Amino acid sequence: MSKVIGIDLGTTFSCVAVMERGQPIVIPNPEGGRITPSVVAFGKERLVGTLAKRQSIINPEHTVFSIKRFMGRKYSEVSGETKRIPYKVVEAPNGDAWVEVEGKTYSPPEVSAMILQFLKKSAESYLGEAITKAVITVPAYFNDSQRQATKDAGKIAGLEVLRIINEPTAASLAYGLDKKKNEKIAVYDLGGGTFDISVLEIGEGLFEVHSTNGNTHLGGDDFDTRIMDWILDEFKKEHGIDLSKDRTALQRIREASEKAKCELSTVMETTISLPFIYSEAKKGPLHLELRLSRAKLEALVGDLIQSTLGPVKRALEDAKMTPKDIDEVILVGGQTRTPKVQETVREFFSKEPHKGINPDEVVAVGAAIQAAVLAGEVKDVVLLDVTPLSLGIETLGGVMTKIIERNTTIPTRKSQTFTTAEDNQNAVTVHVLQGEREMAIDNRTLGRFELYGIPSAPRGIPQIEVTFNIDADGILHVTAKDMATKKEQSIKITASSGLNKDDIDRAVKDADAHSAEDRAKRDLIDSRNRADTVVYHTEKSLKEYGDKISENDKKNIEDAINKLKETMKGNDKSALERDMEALQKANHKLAEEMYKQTQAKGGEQTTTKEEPKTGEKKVDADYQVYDEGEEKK
Amino acid sequence: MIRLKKGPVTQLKEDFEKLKNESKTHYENYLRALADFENFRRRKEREIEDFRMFANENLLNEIIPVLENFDRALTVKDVDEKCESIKKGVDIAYRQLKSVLEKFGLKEFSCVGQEFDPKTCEAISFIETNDKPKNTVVDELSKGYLYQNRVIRPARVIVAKPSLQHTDNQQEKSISNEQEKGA
Repeated sequence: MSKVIGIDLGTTFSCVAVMERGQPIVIPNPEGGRITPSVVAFGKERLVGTLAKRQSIINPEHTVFSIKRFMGRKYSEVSGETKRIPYKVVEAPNGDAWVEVEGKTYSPPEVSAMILQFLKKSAESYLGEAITKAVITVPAYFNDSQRQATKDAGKIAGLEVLRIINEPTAASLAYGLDKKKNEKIAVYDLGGGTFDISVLEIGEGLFEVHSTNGNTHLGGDDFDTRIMDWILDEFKKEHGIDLSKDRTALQRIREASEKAKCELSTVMETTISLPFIYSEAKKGPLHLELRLSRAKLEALVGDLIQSTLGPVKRALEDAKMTPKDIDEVILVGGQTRTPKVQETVREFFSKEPHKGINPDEVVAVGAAIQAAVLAGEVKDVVLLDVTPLSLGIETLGGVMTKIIERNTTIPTRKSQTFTTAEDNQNAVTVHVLQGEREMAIDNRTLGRFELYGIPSAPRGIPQIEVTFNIDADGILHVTAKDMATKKEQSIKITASSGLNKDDIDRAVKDADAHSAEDRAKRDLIDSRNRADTVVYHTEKSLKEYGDKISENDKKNIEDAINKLKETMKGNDKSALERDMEALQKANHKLAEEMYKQTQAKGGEQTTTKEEPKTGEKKVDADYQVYDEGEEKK
Repeated sequence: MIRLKKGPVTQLKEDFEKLKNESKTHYENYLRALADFENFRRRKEREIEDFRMFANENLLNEIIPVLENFDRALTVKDVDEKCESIKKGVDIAYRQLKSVLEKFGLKEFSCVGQEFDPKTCEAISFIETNDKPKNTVVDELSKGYLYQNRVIRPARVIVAKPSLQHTDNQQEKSISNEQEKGA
């Protein structure tokens, strides 16, 4: 069973997405773009998308764009459109509108199929698997023959079209509105070249389209033109030259206009910099540098935005509704990023529109969601739980050492190796905890057990692997295993009884609120544990090598040890650090001696290897336990 | 008719078949999940590598127009001596900037004289001429740029087209505009 993709087959741009375990992924094309121009070029080789667009000016008769305007339509119906395009549209034997390029004729579904095939290949190459099924979107106002043509296009492209869904419906799905009951939804779609408004109603999981309206030739491109015209005007005012005759200048101005328009969605003012825009015989090179404020832009395009409200009002009338009747408003299409558009929509409907999902991609995302449902993904796949709070054990100093972080997807297994705190420690206590606080005592005890029979050894030598294993039913098994004797002990804890969402939220909030003080406590304990290790090792070394150094040096070390032992009784972290450093300094002489001995003997160094690490984890037990910090698989 | 109850053996056989099928389904789902994971892992590795390699792409895309402006400045002709001297200095700084960007993987390229290739060029307009072979790039509005050998900005070029009969020059221009709007 392969994945089913969702395709937004747009007039000017198309987009393809897929759901992966509940997350929508927009699939990029080979050029890295998340949307693909709906353009097909015929010539030496067939080109689709960005590459086709790049040569459209030199190959206008054979570059087919906006084919969507001809899908499922009779030749007699489309005379208005055929005037606007440079490629040839002819009448097929059955009366349909077909395109003719390079002496061959193609039906619109065949051309759309080329775009779909391109998207299919992009998806296959991105996902690494074959794709045979898809859900494709169409405008809500598409009639039967237009929908059938879209389905045919899918078939020609080698895709089984599981469903054709309406674009506004797809957008609603993307925002999860299918979960609502009896709500009225308005979808405001302002793209690059067209404006569509749709009024839907959701009930019993089904969407019903009440009305549609719009303007098939109004979009972001018109906004660009307004800015362009303003720039040309300003330049004419200053230099008396009409730049619209200069192809090069016009190109730069058009690009700068689009760029400025996009920037003004996020900043209040932008600078349009076009140095050397023109060269005049007498004046020499001329430059253009203009500041465009968001307010000025809004003045330039205000009437365009206002003009969208006409179709909106008409759509509401047809649906026999008023703006207040609308429960949800959705924004679709790149141009809805403009703050003024959002404001206008917000004011008109007196509510905040949904706009969190990328407006260029939201229809494809909705199609992907529908695709996943039809693929049975939602039914078959087990929805995995997560463990709501962190799990761990208590270690030296009364801290909690986390082994499984909260929100880890289960089932899961994690192990960590610990060790003993004292010499000849023969048992360890495993105190299982749940929670987010640093100190064990502030967390919830889930269980407790002991592992006996650890062979006598110096502290830090034994290796005890503690494994946390949560199975698919949410049952936790904690095992402690002595790696030497292979002896093990375990405990089974059933899924947290009575932990509801509030408990979880509170636990997390508590941890946040106390994080600073918890952290301080933990740091102090870590320091103290480190100090303990340093004292232990130094005392050990002193016993072995003490006679090799001078009495003076020996006394210095002993003094430092005693001072540190005193400081350990208190709670002053910086004093601990200071005295630890002093001891380590005093220890240098001893260390030197030890190295000399080792070089003479060529023996192994045991003491320095057990240099305590920061963040050392300890298992608190009847007897103290230390950890080496190594994680075993 | 006497109806016989299902014997224990029959029941067991049925249960066994049912469990066998369930087990098979579980196993398949498990394999599928593994396969999905493997694909996902590989894809993420590719994406991370991509991200690492092209981390500077956004920055470079913003810098390229600035480079082009420097280019324009330096192609201004007929300047007096003082200007010429300033021009020289600016040229040195500009080349310095370009070499820094080259170090980070940015490379300039030109398509003039070559056959038009949409992978590297974007046609801005055409010139009707029979002096050059069809679809040759005769001039460029701006150069193209590669970043780590990937085209991040196609060269903007003017292409040669054989002389054709056009009834209306105006129509041609408006067609191009509409195309740009629609395409």
